[in-house]
Amino acid sequence: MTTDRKIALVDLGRCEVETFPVSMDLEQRFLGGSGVATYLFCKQAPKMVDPGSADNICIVSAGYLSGTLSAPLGAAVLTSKTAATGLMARACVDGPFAGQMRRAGFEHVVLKGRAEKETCMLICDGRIEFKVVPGLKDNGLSDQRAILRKEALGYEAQLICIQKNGDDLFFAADACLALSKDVEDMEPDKSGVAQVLAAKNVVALACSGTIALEVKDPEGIIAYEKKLLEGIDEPLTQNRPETDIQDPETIEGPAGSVDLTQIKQTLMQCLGVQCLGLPSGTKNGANGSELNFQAAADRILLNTGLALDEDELKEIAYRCIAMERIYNLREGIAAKQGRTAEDYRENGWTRKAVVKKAKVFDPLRIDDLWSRLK
Amino acid sequence: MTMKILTSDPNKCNGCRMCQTACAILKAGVCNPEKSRIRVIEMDECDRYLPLVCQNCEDAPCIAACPKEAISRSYDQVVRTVIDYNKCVGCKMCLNACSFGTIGFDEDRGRPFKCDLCGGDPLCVHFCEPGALTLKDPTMIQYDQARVSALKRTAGMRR
Repeated sequence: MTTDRKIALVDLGRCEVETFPVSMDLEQRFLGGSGVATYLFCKQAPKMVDPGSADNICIVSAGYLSGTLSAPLGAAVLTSKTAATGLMARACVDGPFAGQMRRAGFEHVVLKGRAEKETCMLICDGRIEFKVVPGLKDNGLSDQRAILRKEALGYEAQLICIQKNGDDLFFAADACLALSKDVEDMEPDKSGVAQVLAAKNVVALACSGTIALEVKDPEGIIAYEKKLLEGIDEPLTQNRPETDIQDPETIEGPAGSVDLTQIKQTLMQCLGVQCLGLPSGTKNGANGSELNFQAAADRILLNTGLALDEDELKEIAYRCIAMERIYNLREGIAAKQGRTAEDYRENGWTRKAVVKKAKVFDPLRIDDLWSRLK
Repeated sequence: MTMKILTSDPNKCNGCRMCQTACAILKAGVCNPEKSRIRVIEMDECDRYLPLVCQNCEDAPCIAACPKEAISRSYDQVVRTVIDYNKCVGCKMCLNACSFGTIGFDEDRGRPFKCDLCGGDPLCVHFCEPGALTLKDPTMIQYDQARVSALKRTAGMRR
């Protein structure tokens, strides 16, 4: 059984696009956003791939709730293996791009190969096209935007561009809220994903779409979000649910322990609620560092009809973290790689302890990755 | 019956598009800005966003342009222009006539749509967290703008 959500597999070298539906099983196991992206990356990326090579893949994903009333500006997540650490890395780009990508017809775009010349990828109402735009990377964001909007997709298009300032590369997106539009004020991309895209000769991603996103309970979600907004001014301490206070600091699972903070961050990246437009810690707010599991479950149910409880949400986030760590273990965590390796070992994450099919892969419901990650 | 105008402040709008999404869900049951009665226009030239809705013009061009007299002034809860879908034939003349481009066309139903101020309590105002959208008495708009102007002119002055 499948949903309306789609994955595009793009071969940049051949300019070919294949599309697949996101199966219901995939949705239930990983939701969307970084969750499905991690699964796809483990499934598609070649073993021990060189991050700068054409064989490396980069996945652009919209969050599970991106473009809905719960996350109209939900973050787009870019996942790849990068040269910065030699491991799987992610870059989150806030703004309306993710929602527009969903309205353009795709939840996840998997980029393979390397384009011959500097290319802009255009996603528009279920189609993916490639446009060669020489010198685009050297222009400022407003110039890039003007060029791309005029020549390609019109004024409603949303963009993510790679910009260069000295030796640093930046992700520049159509901004909102407090996001800066000026490259001098922006933080360089530390994840290294911008380098991967640059190595693939992809200098910009542009989306424009008119596809309607179905809402399971329109009246319910309006009432819910309205109530949430009205609670912004109420003091945080009075509204903080007791369940969050009682939460243990770590979550135990078949592959060792994971911090609750990391579980929350992963879930936010799966849902695309990184940039919700609301201050953190609002009443029932799934936002910022204060993700509330019950609020997240309510929003998923009202928007998509998928009924999940708090434990299931934690299980999904744990599964996504486990996949990433198992992938990183295979790619080789060495002592010289510093803190990440230390953290892994402290939590019982060693190749000997974790990479076991019956004890780890089967209970985590990722047994289909066994042949790829063993 | 009261006369109210939905006003938008580009200096406060942060482009979050909550108003647009909420409106589309309420009126069409889907997340699609194309179905929203409010449009957030991004102005690259000045780095601002401007939410636009039907201004319910006194001498409305859409009323004059409609060959079937399907658009009229309504004075029930608030003063507004409304479309009578029993008379509308979907000719799109009103879309062309509107000076603000705030009348949309629903291709699924084959008919135009416009803001009806949600019967006097617009949902977009509730969802505008930065307070860029407000429903105001038209006689008070000039005082609000005059006050902003006066504050700018007297900045730095002390009693």
